[in-house]
Amino acid sequence: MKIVILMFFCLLIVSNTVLAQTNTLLDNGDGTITDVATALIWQKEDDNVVRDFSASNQYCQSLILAGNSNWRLPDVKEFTSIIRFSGNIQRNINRIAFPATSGSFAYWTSTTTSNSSSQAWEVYFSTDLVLSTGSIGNVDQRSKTGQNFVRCVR
Amino acid sequence: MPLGVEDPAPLAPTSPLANASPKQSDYIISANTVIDTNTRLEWQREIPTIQGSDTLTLEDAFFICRDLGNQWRLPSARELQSIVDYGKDTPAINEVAFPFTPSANFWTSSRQIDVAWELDFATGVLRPIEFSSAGLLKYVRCVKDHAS
Repeated sequence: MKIVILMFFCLLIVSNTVLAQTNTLLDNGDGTITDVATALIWQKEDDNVVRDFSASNQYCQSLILAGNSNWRLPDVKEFTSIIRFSGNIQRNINRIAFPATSGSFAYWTSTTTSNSSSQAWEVYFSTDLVLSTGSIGNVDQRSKTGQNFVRCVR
Repeated sequence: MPLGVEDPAPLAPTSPLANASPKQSDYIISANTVIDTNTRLEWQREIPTIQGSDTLTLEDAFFICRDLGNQWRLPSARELQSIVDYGKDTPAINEVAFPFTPSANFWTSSRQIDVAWELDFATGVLRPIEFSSAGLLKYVRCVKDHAS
């Protein structure tokens, strides 16, 4: 039994090391997070306000954060780059780097869908397995009049 | 199943993301493979078949890529999304570089405790499906790092 417990802790240490190696997010201490894997700088926390697509674009364009004013909405591939595709689905984003990330509303990307200019792509960090495995995806399309959260990037 | 829990291939540090709508000039196209000069990934140009069938279970998807040898593997969700062209649909991919791509679901190697991730090349939707569905048949496209 002791050996089994020891092996379990060894496994725990090994898996923590792997997670540390794959964490490429640096907290800049000024409300922004740098992802060294993509060289993108992210807004650490959203402002807890939902907006339609147009208002979300305007929000990022007028945002002044950490002395910078060149913020914008991330495109669909940029936003997907901070989804974590391993471990437990409830840790589908690094919630230490990105605290209070909504699991109940999606986030807007800047990418308009190819088949309808009235729709855009959204990224959904749902922690609800049933919801996220439903008919919609975690990276899916929504009418631009829909209300989503916003996380800007530069 | 011999499947890792971690995303086996996070993009390398300083590796740029692919454009949401890749340009054909991003690709070096040869008869059987396509090299993406942005991500430095080398892709199978056409989807593989196993015993005459184009669609595979998740387990067979891992094996059909691994059996190619030479570091071929099933792409992670992020890797497979890198060749999606969000500027078009049905299929959402450059059809000169990747001809005969079906507008259908493809397996990725990304798995969580309860879910596997699939990518729909009709539009580019990326979604988790319950792991109990891993026996369903989906398409596969294998990848490897491009040795420059």
